[in-house]
Amino acid sequence: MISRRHQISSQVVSVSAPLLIVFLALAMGLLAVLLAGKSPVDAVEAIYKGAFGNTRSISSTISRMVPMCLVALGWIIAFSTKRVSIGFEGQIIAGGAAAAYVGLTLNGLPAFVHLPLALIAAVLAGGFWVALPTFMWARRGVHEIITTLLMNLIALEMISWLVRGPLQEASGTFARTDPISANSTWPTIIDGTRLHWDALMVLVLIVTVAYVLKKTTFGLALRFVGANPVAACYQGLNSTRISVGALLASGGFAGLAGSSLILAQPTSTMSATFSGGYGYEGIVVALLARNNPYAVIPVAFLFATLRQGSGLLEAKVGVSSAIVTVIMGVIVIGVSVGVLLAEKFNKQQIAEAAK
Amino acid sequence: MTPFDEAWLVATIAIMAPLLLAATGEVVSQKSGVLNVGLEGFMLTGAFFGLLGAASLDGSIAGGLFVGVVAGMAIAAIMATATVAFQADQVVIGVGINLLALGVTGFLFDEVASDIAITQLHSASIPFLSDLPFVGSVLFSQKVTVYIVLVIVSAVWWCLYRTKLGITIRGSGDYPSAVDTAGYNVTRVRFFCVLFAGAAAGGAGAMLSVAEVGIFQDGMVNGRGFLALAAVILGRWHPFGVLAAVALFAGADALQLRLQAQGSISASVWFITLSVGGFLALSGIRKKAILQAIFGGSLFIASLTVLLIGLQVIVPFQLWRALPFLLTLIVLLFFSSSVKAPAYLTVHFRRKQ
Repeated sequence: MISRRHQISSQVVSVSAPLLIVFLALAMGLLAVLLAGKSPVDAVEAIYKGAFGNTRSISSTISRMVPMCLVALGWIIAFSTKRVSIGFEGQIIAGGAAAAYVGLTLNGLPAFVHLPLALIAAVLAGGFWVALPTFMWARRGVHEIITTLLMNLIALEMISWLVRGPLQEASGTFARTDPISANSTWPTIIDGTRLHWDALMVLVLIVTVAYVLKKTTFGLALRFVGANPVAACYQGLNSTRISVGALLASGGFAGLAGSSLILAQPTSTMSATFSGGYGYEGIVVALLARNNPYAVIPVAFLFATLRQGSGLLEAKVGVSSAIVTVIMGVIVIGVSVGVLLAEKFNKQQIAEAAK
Repeated sequence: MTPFDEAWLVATIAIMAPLLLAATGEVVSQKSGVLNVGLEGFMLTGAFFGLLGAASLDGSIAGGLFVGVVAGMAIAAIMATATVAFQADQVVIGVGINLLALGVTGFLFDEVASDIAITQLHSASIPFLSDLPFVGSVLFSQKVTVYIVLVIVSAVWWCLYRTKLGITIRGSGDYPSAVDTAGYNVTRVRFFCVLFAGAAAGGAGAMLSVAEVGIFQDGMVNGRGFLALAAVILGRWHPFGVLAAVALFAGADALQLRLQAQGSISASVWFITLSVGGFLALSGIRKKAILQAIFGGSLFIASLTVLLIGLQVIVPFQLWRALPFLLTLIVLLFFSSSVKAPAYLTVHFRRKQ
């Protein structure tokens, strides 16, 4: 009989293991700053000021969370059926480009039509960008890891062509689009900040995804397929079709993330680099959140703070902002291993208690 | 003017070498059951530390390549420890490895090494053979590293298919419990195979920075690690299959470099797409693969139209740059059904108690 005390202590271990790893990774980052001959105190101060120094930086930090959360949700949905898509970067690009296209072309529409149209276009484009890998997985048995990656690389070339070719600004000076019609962009929540209403949409989506995965039959079907596709088939579920749906939906979420990077930005033009690595960071967020939709929020907050703060870190203290990428890599590897060790530790504790 | 000339072949082989080395290492690792999504990261690490090593060893190319190999093994050791020893998810750790490599090389590049440059490796002509017409310049006037890579690929093939060690490695990926029963340690086999993949990819990365350009740039590996992963699948997990796949990619890459310079596409390229389209259409009809037949047929008709009208098609250079990736997708789409991955690829091995 496993006592309540053991249940609680094993929960404490599983929660504290990732926290400990994050703490260690951050400490290691500061050590690297020290070794580079700069002051870690200055570094912390620069990150804090860069991320929370004034209303503008606070709102920027929060708006950075939006694409991270959306991609993380996409990963969680696909991974609930154990499909491993790493093509979010490409889907962000496809979604953002579609949103920008709708925003640039359909002028004169009222905002309540134009913005939803742009969002729908982005979702569809994101889904479209994962459609070929999905098809190849479902019909040809080609693992989606490699195909989604290839689609990322293709998307990078596509966006590079779009902003220098058909969608380039009329003056033709820079590799970017003209400003997108104000009617298709998200309005700000508070004037003069970078906080747009898409942040609220993300909150709603997080709650929805959490509800669907945990409380509905469809969510159960997703998790069933993920746990054992063969058994799911015997239960009358079409495992392949459900996984295909999950992959397409994950593409839709990434496409939506792309739309926010175009429609909820201060500049409202599209450049070739707008996707900015969010497609990979979102995966890291989901992993650290252990695929829990609610846990995505604090994790995204941590990473958005680091990313937003790293700008000032580079400018003021002179420390390369790549340090944030190092910290993320360490967190991914450390948390994956740490969680396994924590589970092992818990099992041992329970086995001993059972004796 | 045809782009398929001597210079194209020379460039193809030069582009092939690092890709082939990384892909060959990955074949060994995947044969043993471990997928390295972090191959790109291995190469990046090798490229950076290889150049750093070469620069601190007075520009020694051999020293730089060696340091690149060691650096690749070091980051592969992280991969192997996490996935083989601790049995963490191979794909997740691979993503982490890529982030780690990108971050570490970017950070160190900004902090200590942003202005390092060395003299890159010059081509080595093999005496007498390099004087032969055509073959001499294509095959026997390449850089030494190219020959080394070819030797390594042959050695890997021999080891995998002609030795007991090879059987053990392949068994670890196809039927690990049998290898275990035979008294070998599957964990150890996989660990060393990942290290080998790291060494090869690290060496490949160092070839890019040390032997080819003599500098390091952010993102200089530029998807080659992912391309090598694709080549492993396309080459059906066989060293010589991988050689063919890499030759295809490298040929396309060298072609795009030359076509970019030429502007419009010459007729010889259209003849190739014409024959490829015709082949796909016919084999598609024979296999009753409708999609493939339609794709091949439209490619055939499009190429034929262009040739007959004498259309001057100008394609944006980005399409050429995406060509190797598109080609991989197309080949995987149409020819993947007969390809079988090692049965226990990405599956952890736990010894029964």
